[in-house]
Amino acid sequence: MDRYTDIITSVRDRLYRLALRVVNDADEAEDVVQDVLVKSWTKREQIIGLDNPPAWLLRMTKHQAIDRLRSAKVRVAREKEAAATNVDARTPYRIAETNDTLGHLHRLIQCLPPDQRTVLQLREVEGLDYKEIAEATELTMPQVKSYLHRGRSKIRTLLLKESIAP
Amino acid sequence: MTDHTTAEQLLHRYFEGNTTLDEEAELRDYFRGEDVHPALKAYDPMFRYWATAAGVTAPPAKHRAAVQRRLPLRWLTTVAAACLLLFVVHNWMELEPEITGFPVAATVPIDWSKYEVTDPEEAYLVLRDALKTASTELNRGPRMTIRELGELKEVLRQKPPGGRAGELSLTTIKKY
Repeated sequence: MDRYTDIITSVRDRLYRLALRVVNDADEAEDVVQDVLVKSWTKREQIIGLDNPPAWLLRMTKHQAIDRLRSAKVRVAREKEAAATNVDARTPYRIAETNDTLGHLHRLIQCLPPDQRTVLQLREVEGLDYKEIAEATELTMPQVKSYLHRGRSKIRTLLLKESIAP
Repeated sequence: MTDHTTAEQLLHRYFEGNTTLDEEAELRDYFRGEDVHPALKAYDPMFRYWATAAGVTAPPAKHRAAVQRRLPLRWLTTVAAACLLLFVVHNWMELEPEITGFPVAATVPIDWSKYEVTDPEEAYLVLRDALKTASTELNRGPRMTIRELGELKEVLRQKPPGGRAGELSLTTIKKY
């Protein structure tokens, strides 16, 4: 029980950040993490016995977030309207909106496919190595490297296009 | 402290996806510093963006009961429609006549062997009764014929009014 609590405490912020990266909505991300934690509680004995419990939880979060993203498509119009006037202050996205460069970066990254976004998030924000990312995303190592390379290249292209970078 | 040349080389490898986690940490440190070379200054927002994203923390956990869940209306409607359909079909089937009420005894072969007479005494009695019945029925027809012939003979013997004996009147014939 204590071990399980320790695992959840150490990984909860990471799960939330990943969910937020995929669904791009603070409330939805919170719900995703809540669902993952409820499901993980029912399997706590198995989770404690895993070699890498955070990877399992990150994988669950990714799946849950993508499912929620798909089911939310019917509410896209409403969400767009809400997002325009009510960007959550707890996210870095409000800061991004106040700065052109960060805002462009954010929009570019959020336009990437969910898998590619997830790989960038786990590498750039969470600092996971390729093996850990592959484990958490169920992608192969070459896929992880490829997604990372493509994501970074797109960011660089954006910077160059806007004449931000030489 | 990473110098400009090293940072430039690391950046090149970074965009190729060939840097290690330690080298990427080195790059972050470089861009966090004050003396970023003007030629690389433009990449600064990217590292700032990732640093900001890394600072996000999950809000305090909310109590599960307080979370207002949306009802899966489409799913519930489907289930309700299926239940209604089952109910209607079940009631309709109950109104149909009971097929099992049809007489099916004829389809079962009769075991005649259990009616077979095996005792000689009983066989004799059965045979006697059968012959007696046959004899009675066979004699019934001739008896009726003889009786009717006798009646006819009697009629022929009677003398009709105004006629000769043995002459049949139309009325007498019609009677038979």
